[in-house]
Amino acid sequence: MSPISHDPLDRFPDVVAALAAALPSKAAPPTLKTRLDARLREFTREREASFHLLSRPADRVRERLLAPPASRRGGRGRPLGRVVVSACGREAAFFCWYLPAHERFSLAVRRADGSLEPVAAFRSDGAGDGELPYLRLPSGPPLVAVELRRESTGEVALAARL
Amino acid sequence: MERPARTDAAAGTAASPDPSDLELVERIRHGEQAALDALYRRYASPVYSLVWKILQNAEEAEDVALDVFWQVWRQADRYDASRGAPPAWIFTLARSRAIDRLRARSRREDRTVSIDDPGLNIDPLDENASPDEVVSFRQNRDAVRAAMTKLSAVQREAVELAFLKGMTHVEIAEKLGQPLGTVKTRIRQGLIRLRKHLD
Repeated sequence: MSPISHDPLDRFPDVVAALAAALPSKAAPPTLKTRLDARLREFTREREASFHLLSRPADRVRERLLAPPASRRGGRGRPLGRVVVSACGREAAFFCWYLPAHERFSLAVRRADGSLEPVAAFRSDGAGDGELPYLRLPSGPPLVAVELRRESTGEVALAARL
Repeated sequence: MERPARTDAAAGTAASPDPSDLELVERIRHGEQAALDALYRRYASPVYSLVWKILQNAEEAEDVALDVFWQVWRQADRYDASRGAPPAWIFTLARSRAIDRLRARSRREDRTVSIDDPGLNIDPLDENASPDEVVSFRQNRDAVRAAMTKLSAVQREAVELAFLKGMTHVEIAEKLGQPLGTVKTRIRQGLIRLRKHLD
């Protein structure tokens, strides 16, 4: 069977519309609208769920991002981090302090299915600060956590559940 | 395309009482569900009629019509006005999806098809149709029927096979036992003649 791209009417959309509009009319079943509305509601619900996940108030996100691994907590000068997620939930800004100076770090997000996806890397400055002022968050399955690792050792410097 | 739903107020657009199809598509592009509802009210029955006519199966026709309006909602930003008015886009989507479904079937019935098959005229018009819509429908139907009479019998049959069964030039040539080039010419001339008379 030849593909539809060889459709003789392909270049005649206006004729298609005229022929279609002239067909004997059959009323659309009420279930069609019911199903369309249900699909729209589901679409809206999913969008809002995603939005709420990534656009929590900045303070709450910061509390979660401040925590280094339990074994390395305590004392002054421990790493600190803050993340601000944009209102649309697609971009984020990361700011970190008290990291080891002049080291490369990688940032990754963990998805609900457990997979870890690298999103960015940066080098801390002489004071141990690092930042990623504009970062596009990956789309796809929900993001549940973020991790900042030292590239040299793979050690987790900061981690938090989103 | 990822777009959150918006209300009229959120969209910041003043909805006119009787918006044009183009305006509705533009508002859908901005995620306004009320615009989709309006377009649905306007085209649900014609779209359903078309896919039902092609598929001859109520359940499949409903599935396909649902997918058509969902595609309008999700892909309104792909609408290209240079390719035709919104109805041309919507009916082309509907016809393509119905024919895709038809082709997906393993069985393909060899029915005689006709644009104005009286046996299918079960519901004269949607019961919710306004008087203006009834008049418009009848005028358009009469115009199409008049335009179809300008085609030769072979042209008319070829156009109907292409329109309602989604047949390609090759398939139509095989079915009619005509040379491919002859069929291509007849269909093209037929469609051009239809367009001229419908204008």
